[in-house]
Amino acid sequence: MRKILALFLSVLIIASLAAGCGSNQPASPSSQAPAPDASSSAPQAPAGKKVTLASFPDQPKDALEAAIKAANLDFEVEIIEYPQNEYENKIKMAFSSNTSTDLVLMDGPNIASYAASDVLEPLDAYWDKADFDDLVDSAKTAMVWNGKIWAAPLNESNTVLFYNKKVFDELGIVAPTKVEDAWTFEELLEVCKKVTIPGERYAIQPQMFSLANRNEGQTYTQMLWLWMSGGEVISPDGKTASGYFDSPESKRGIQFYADLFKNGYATTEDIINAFETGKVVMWTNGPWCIGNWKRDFPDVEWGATPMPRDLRGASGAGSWNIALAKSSDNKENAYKVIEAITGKTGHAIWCSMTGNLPARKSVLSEDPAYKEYPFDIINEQLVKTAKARPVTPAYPQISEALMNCFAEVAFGEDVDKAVEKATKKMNEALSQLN
Amino acid sequence: MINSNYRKLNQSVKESINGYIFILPALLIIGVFFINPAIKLFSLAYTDYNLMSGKGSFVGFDNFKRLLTNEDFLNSLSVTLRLAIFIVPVQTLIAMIMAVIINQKLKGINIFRTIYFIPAIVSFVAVAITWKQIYNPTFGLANTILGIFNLGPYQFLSSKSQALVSVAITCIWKSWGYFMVIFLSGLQDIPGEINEACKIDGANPVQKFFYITVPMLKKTTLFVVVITTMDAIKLFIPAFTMTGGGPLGSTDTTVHYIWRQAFRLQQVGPATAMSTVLFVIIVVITMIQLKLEGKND
Repeated sequence: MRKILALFLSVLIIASLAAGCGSNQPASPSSQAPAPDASSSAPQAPAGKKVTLASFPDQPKDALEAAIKAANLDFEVEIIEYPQNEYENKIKMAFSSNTSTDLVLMDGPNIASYAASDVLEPLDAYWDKADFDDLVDSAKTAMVWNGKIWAAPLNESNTVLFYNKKVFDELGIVAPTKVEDAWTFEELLEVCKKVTIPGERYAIQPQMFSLANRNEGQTYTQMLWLWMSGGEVISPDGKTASGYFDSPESKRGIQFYADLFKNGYATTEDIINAFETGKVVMWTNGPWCIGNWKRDFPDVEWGATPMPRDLRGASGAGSWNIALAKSSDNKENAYKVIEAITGKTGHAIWCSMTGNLPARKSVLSEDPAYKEYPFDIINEQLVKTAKARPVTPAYPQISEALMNCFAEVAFGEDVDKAVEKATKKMNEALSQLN
Repeated sequence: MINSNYRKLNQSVKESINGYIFILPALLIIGVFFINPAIKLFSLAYTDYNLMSGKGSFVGFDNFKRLLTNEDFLNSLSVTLRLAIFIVPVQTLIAMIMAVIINQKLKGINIFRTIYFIPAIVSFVAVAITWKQIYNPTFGLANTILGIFNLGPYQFLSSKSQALVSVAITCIWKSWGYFMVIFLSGLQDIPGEINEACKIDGANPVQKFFYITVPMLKKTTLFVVVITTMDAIKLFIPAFTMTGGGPLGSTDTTVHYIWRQAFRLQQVGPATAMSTVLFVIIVVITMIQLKLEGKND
């Protein structure tokens, strides 16, 4: 009896282990490929060759397909979706084993790291210069590394300071709506002081998520504070962080961020839906929140004001892009797909269907929806204050060091010490590139 | 004489060939999925290998030298050590005491045995996600229960000082049932006469526990301690699922840190160097423990 029990239990254990190992693998391109109708259109074989694109479920497939459809391509495009959390790992493995799709969706700040690994094809030979100039400046900066263009943006992104309109109305606080009127650090502190109720309500969440989270969204919003005070992360030539991340200007911004926590205006606690439940009054985040609120928190009364400024204004930029794999044997067609999705027509379709912010000036100026509040603020910021994150193959490590530094000062670590540590980490990463 | 020796030899060769055939499948699987990657890993530690392009050049001991000044790596070693120091004794003690309690002939005791064993067969990821909800400071079960006793609210996973203990408690909750069963089988191996003699001599349950049970379970205990220590050193899932190593690296176990370096930051060279160091540490600790076990025999 005991033996049978033991056997039963071991089977259970193995079964549970096996369940943990399984993952819903996307169908491999070859297994799913429909038989090409070689009989009907055999002669122009290269022109009809299928293009594959790696994506993940958060990027609406129907919007990609709509943009492709509008371009009337004479070949098939297959969109292969990988599970979101595994996406980066999957494409890295595909590159390393030479089984990459022709096109790959890629997060902006990681482009340089992929390009430096020699797995991408530059787009300079394909992309018309005048059309490239239609991109907003922050998008242009993010696409170029080492003098070459490596990807085309699906869309742009930007950040504003969202606020709880109810609280502001109660306290009679009027938030600016023009970039040139944006709050200074001192003015922001005044507002923080007014809206904070110790132990009950915090004034601001100065980064995208609570500090328990560690992802690019944090860096994306934390970096803004040091840009506002005139600081930079690394040198323009991408060789060092010394004199940039540890400059007095950068430290001023980081100190301001740290003081928000020290003075009790911000918290290191992990409060779920802090803004929506009124526990936090202001929040640095992007316009995608608006859609979420409409859907999940229709009662939230929000307002938006431009990102604050100190020495200068700064707002976030950069989103997902399409890159062409070097190993692709179908580059001509693949570029046509890039053009279909990111060209003027496709871009307008993609942005209107997904609610994303256009990266093209022409689309921004043509669609009246981008002139309505709060997109008027975002539109103005995109042109005036949006700043691309540093473009360097060492970006993943730079981002990690910066995120750790901001978390440390939020938890009360000395700014000089934390900055020194992060600068050292960044320099180590940068020095390995040469 | 010679002939019989020859026959013996022949037989032993035959036997060993048979033996090798029997272990061949296991050897193949271990070779392909463990030894081969391990050799690759040890060799990558001396290169600046790029995960995507597959290119890398020899850099000597650079990756190892840099580890000595890598505060985050040293922190992860310290986190792992503290986790092990907390988990191993607490978990072993709970498992042993519960095994003694559950070893009694009471009605319905089998139901409890099963219930206590359930966490051990549930996937660790599921356990970690559940506990993450329990620890949620705003509406988690933990603060609700503590609130009844006028305690808290605590921050648990988002507090620098509480996160590691919270993670350790989850690990213990997950695993003690499994080791309880091992102790249970150890208890059942204690001869009934000893227990009877003990009863006749008038020992109370506490005396019986310390003078009979604990010494008789020595071998089982050492086995449990070795396995638990190795498990604790290799912890990855709770750091990955519950905290991401934070806040401020306070739960960043070594394996989680290594994984992040290799697959998030593409630092394969340094990461494999760290793995090599961790491997050596585990081998040394296990050898010490086995030596202790040998002495006690």
